[in-house]
Amino acid sequence: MSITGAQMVLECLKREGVEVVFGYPGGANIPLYDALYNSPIRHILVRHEQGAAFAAGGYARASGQPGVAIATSGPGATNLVTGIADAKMDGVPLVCITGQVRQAVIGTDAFQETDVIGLTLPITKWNCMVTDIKDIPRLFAQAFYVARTGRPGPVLIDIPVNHIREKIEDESAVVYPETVSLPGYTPEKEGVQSYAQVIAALQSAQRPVAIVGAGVKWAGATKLVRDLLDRLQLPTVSTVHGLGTIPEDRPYYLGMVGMHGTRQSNLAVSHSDLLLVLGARLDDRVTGDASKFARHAKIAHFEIDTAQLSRVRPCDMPVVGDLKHTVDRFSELLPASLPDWSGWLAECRAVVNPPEKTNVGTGKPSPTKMLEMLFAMMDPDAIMTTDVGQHQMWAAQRAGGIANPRQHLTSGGLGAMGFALPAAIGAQLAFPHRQVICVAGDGGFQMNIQELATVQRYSLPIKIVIIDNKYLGMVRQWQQLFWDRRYSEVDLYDNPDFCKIAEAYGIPAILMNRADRMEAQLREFLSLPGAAQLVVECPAEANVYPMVPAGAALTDMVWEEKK
Amino acid sequence: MTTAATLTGLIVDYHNIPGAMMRVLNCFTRRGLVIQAVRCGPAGSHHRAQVVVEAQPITIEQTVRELESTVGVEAVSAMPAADVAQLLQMAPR
Repeated sequence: MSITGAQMVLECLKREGVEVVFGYPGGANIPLYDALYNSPIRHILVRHEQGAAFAAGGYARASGQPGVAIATSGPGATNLVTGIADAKMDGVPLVCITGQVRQAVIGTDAFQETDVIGLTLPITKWNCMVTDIKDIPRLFAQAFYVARTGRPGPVLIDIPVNHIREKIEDESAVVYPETVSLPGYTPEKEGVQSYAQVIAALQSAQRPVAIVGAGVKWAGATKLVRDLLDRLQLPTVSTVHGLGTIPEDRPYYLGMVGMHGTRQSNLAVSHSDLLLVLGARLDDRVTGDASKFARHAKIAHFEIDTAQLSRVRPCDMPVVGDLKHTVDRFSELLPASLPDWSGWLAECRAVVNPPEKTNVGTGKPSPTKMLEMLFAMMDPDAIMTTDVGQHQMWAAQRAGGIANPRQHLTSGGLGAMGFALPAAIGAQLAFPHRQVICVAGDGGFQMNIQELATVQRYSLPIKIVIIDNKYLGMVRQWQQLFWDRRYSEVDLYDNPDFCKIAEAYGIPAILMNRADRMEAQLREFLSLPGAAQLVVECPAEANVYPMVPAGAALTDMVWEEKK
Repeated sequence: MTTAATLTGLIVDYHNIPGAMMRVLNCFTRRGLVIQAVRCGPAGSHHRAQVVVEAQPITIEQTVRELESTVGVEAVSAMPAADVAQLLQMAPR
């Protein structure tokens, strides 16, 4: 029996355990869609390819398994780019499959031809073009292998349309590799491991602090890290992607670190003499001014990807490898008797976090109060996706109570507006029976608003919260605090009626515009069956505090506008 | 503190899988570095690229670490100064 290239692609996906793909058809991938027509693989038709990439990313972030996005050549492929870059920054396994014009016309500027290999080379971990149908099984095996191993990341396979139409007459001649390797790629390669130095440093440290990041969950090391820190009992902080790794009730947990982190966290890190960095890459939003970041501390960095080491500060003690192995080994090597850091922990905890700004005063709902209520009312295993901007940080500041780091999905590294809704779609498809809540701002929501159609088409019971302050709030906040209130092009006074839009898509919507009705309306919203949208009209000039101004030290937190 | 940029040569051994050389060069160009000279070709069981750029030491260190974690790259090492000078003087024929 014969088999087409398209059928081989789907067979490869099945062998990789793929059950759901997100995509959009076009001229150069029609043969693939023809094969999907009677395939057991579920295809989710999004309304824009960026939605496919973010949805696949959301699926991967929630489940830990690679997400798959499909697009056609040219504009279909270029529309994937933001989602791919997001996956690269946050280390998310994403497999993108793009159609391409016939191989014979590549390079002739054919209709819908784009050099997607060139375009995505810097933002993928690996990419390739199929030039021979017989290579499809090997290339797909390599793609999934690269995407899910090491520091996970996005890969892309570009398939000229002639190769997905082409047939191999004898299907039994197709060889699907049992094992996979790629020359020059050894993700399990163990580099320098300074266990002895880290233990010695720990034993002599007076003010150690641990930072947990996304690498912990991707390594499947959450329990190991919790056990380790339960034993060490040293002050511990989290990056935005590490939230949920350490339960909020642990007395040593100080909260989120960085630009909008807690005062306790930022000061603990700043005054530490040893940083135990566990799967965090220490980007600029975490460190602030790198030259002033933990300037008295030695850094022990547990990391799988050597490229993440010493980016902003020299790493004194690298421990390179999969955290599941390195943390386990480190825990084994730790001596039974360890210093008592309870005095240092008490010192950190004695720092007072100034009272939170409640952002009230106009009679409108406070976005921060509303989010606190939402966190309190949502299911314990609910997955929350957030977009990018003020609401993202308000939510992150209040997400400490989540039980698992895969319950809080956000575009942290790239900071891509438009992420939340399609990511929620991906998360809901990964976990159809769990509550999924999408929190977006009025700006970002409009960047992928078309995906309301996807929500409705597949009856996804996503609860969508739009925090509407009629501004691009975070940019406005920066303009207010650092640019003399010169509000340039951030005013969204002419937002559409979001409730009417939701209703046009067949999704019930609630408008919340009074502080005194917050609780009742939230309860009503969460109890609605199926998808629902809540539009929260909040005060226009609510700000996110504390804030470390860009380029300032973590100690230089701002709590209000300077008069 | 800014350290002066210096001419530096790196030897990158890589497997010649599709796109590998471009990924190697991208590690330099994404940092705004101008590649002063480059020579690539087969070198036994793999391929070798010799790349000369002008950059600060910290930038070179970051580039080396990124190269080492790039799919397809086998090893990265420093080029002796004499080889850097020789490569810069070689005119393409």
